[in-house]
Amino acid sequence: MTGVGLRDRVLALLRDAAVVYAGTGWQARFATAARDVDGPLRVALAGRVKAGKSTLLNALVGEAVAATDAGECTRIVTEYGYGPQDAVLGVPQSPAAGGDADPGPPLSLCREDGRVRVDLGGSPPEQFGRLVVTVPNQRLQGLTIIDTPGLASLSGELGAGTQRFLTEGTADAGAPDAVLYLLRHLHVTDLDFLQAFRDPAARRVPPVNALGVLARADELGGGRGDALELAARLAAGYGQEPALRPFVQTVVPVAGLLAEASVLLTAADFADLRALAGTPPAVTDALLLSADRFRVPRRSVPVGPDRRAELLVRLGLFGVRWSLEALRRGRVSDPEGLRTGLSEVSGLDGLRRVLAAQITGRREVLKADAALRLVRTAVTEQERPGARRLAAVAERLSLGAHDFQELRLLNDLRLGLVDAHDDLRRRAERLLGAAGGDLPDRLGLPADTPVAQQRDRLLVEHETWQRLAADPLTPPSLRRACEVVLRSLQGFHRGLAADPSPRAVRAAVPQRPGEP
Amino acid sequence: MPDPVTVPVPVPARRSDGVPREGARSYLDQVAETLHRTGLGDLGDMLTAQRARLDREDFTVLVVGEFGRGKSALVNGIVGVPVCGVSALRATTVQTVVRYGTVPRAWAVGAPAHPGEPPARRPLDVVEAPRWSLLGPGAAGPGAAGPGPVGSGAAGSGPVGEGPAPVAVEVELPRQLLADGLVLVDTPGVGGGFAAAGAATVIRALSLADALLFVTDASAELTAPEVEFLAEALAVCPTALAVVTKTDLYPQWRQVVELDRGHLAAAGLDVPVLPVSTVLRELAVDTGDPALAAESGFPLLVRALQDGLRRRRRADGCRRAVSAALSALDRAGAQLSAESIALTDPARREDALARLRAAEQRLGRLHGASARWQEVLADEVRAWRRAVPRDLVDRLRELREHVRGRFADGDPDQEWTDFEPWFHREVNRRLTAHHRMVLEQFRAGADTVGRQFDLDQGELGLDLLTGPVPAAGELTRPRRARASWVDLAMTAARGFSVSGAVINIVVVAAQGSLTAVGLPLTAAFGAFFGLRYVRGLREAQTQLARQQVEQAVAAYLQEVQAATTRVDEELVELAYIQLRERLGQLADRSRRDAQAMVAAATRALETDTDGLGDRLAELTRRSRELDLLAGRGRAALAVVPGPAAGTTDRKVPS
Repeated sequence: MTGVGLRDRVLALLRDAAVVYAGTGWQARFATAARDVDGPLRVALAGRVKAGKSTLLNALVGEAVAATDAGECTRIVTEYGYGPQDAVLGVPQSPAAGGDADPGPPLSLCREDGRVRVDLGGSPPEQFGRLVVTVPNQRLQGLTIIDTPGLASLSGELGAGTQRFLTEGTADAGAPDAVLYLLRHLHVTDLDFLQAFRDPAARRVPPVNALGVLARADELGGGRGDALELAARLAAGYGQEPALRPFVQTVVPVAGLLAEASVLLTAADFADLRALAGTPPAVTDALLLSADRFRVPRRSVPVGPDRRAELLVRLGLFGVRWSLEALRRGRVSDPEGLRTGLSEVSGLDGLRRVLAAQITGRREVLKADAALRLVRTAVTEQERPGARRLAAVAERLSLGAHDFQELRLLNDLRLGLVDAHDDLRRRAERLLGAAGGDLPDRLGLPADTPVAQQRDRLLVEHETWQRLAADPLTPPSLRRACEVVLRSLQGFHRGLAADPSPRAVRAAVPQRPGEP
Repeated sequence: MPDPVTVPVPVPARRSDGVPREGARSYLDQVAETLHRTGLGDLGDMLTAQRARLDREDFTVLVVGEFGRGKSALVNGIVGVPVCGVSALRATTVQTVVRYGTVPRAWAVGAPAHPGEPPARRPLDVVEAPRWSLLGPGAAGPGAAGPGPVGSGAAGSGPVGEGPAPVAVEVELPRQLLADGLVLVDTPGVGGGFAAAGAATVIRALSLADALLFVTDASAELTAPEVEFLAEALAVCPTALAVVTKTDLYPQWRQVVELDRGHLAAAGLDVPVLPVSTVLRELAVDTGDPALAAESGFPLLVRALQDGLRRRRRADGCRRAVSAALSALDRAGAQLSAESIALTDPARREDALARLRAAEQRLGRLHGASARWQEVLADEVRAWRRAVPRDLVDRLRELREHVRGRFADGDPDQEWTDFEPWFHREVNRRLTAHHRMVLEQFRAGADTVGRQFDLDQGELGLDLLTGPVPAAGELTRPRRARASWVDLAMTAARGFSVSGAVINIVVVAAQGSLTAVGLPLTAAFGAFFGLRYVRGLREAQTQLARQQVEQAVAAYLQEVQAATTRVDEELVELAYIQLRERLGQLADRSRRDAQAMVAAATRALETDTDGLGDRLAELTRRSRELDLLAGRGRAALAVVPGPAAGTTDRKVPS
């Protein structure tokens, strides 16, 4: 469902804008934006202090690239992207106009125990506006993940800086294309923060590119056995919460530590876990009473206290309990199996699916949207000859491309601007790709549904929405929504129609005049 | 086993103990014993009873902190049974008061129908109590403004349908720990610190409490909003203890505790930090395993609570006990003087007796509605009723002007974006200042009324005892060493005379709660304060936005004013009733004193002339003994600093 030539038209607009704004600070930003259009998708992780941002980042990357600790540890906005080799670049705080700010001692990046560590070379963290880390990691190809300092931190103004970066970007780096917002319990600070993203007039950084993640799910309810079920229920509740709906598309529960362990677990860790699982449950139960007890020296336990302490750091109490249970029940028998199990149970797989469906699957339109936002901001903030023309072009672009229509309607639905009852609203959201961009996702069918069945469902949906659109009692806002939904359905129908299929079905959905 | 943790105990800020505990106790015993020996056994008994009452007086500990930190589980852990609702999905919305009772009982407490009336209580099944604490008026409470968690589940599904949702749940338990008067109050969490709507409500409740337990957990170090809130809380309730929960779950809890201590020290907050685990506590209770109990940290916590209570009893209770002893000595002295005056000068016997009888009669009038102190009290209460709402209106009007100025002059991009937390902080600051003003009014008023009471008493008769004293007798009646009236004002503010003081605090706090008040600002801000959107506004749009926000602010402040006024009315009523009852009791006592003096003098009249010398000598001896005791008491009092329970005299950072 990608608008034909959308990327090229956006690039042309940005080039045009760079000419119109030549000689101003905007010129460089347009150049950056043009480069970004083809660059990797930039996804930021944001949230309160200790929400588990770095842990989740490591899990998503599949490698311990971000430092994690009991205390607050991410103090600089750090971008993690793909590069042929390990490298780190420090971008100084507010670079001088001349560009010859003191670069300070060079930064270096090293790996210890499989963990990437950035050495600031003795420079104070405040000196840097941003760090850019590149590692040769396949998962980061086409996807840059940005770690941010937590909000409500006691160490100074970190929170405010993060907020500015996330919403406005900087001169040399645009705002992220999407944001994963990590929540623990939903907190007023969280809502304040999310509020900053919301901008009904310009529809910028709208909820379609913000996902909520209920992080540290394994700690809910004191880390008891049902923690993850509780988390799933809580996340589902948050997803339907009116106060939250305008801000994030959906809330996904993730046990960050388990997710991280699913990629960092070593063969030695597995061997220790298996040894522990081999002891009578009564022995391990006594150990698992508390984090302290788990590290107590015991001769009857085949794994030494130091190794147990490491297991605890890697998996947490919940993770250790879960792993022992899985091993004893024979659900897993090798390291790979345990990694797979952890990845699934932690919610990491689910998060990856949602990410693929909602964020990376919409890559082009999100990129285009970010570029159009920048143009609009420039036009409203600084008058230039030709600026009006730019605005008009941007407007035409965003109105013309159906992808934007879908995005906008999704937003309106989330913001409650469409006069529809909840069932209908949810159905419309799904059809617009809120649960995944592929046709089966949109139709609420399993991914392996036969094409004929998909087509049947599609026609049923089409008829429903057409009837709704034709109903004189349908409120105007809903009628407009119907039109967008119908266009999406028609687009998919054409895609299906390209397959060999009975003529009659194709005829059932009328072609619109003027459609390419 | 883990390293033993160093045991901090709550240290009341800027307060010294003065009289050593044992000293105070033996002093009281000595006074009571002396009174018995002197034939004034009834005064001695009264003193003993009073001391016992002081020893059992409520020591209210408010458990506060952000939601989801384990406050309710902590209270359950302290008392060893589940009395507060604990849920991973729903937050506490109704306060639970846990106190001593001979059998387990529970009530749902509703708001009083009229200010000053005791709150409505409805008996509950005690095992149901935990469920009740999870519902209530704020249960739905989402909205960006609410201090509670969002989406914690809608209100309703629970044991409702049995009348209106309670503002508090009260539970009585036969626990030794509570027998000394320890009262625990589990509160709904405040998220967002002092910048959250409703923070002032908690601060107000804290100003009426004796101590606070600040709850955070080992999952993360303290955040800026938490520290800010704690600083404000300490300003009104300096006896505090910070508890780090969930140590069983986090291997790095020691590091977090150290970080927390560092943050508190950096903020200049002198609060001990105690790590605990409710999970281990529960297991320890179930299994009776002492190692688990020790590891849970609860024994230390319980001890710290008891120490805090004892310390308060020592500083405060001691001063008040010594005051009570002095008062008893004073009254005993008066009786002795009455008798000795009658003895010394037979010529004046009849006259003295007549004057005493007259005094007795007039003292009876202290009781009546026409007594001058009653008029002064009525005047004071009228003044409160005028000044308190006016103060509130003025403060809020000033804030409204301030907001208007901020919008009119400020660069919208700079000024508007962080408006909401700023606004809540300013509202909370003003409400807290207003509340301090209210307490100060009570204090000053009680002082005025108290002084008038003293005057009335003197005028009405007790002055006759300061008349010419026979040289031979050397009888000097101890100066009336009335404890400062400030004490009375403080207890007046707390409403101790009305049944269930803590309940009053809780009801007052819950009533003023702004959680139920939707913040109309949110809508306005959603529309106008998108971070960058403001920049793009045309002048006319900006103007419109200003107007809309000003309207929203005005509407919100009106709600704040209405809610606060309700609380103020309640407090004024409670203070009034309290003062009237206390002074009435004192008047009653004075009358009984006068009766005792008449009886003593009458006894003197019956003494035959032969025994007169002996009797006089004995009276002199006893009187000296009492003087000596009183002198020691006064010396001890001089060392003890002012009213420790006071909240009005605490230094509060501006």
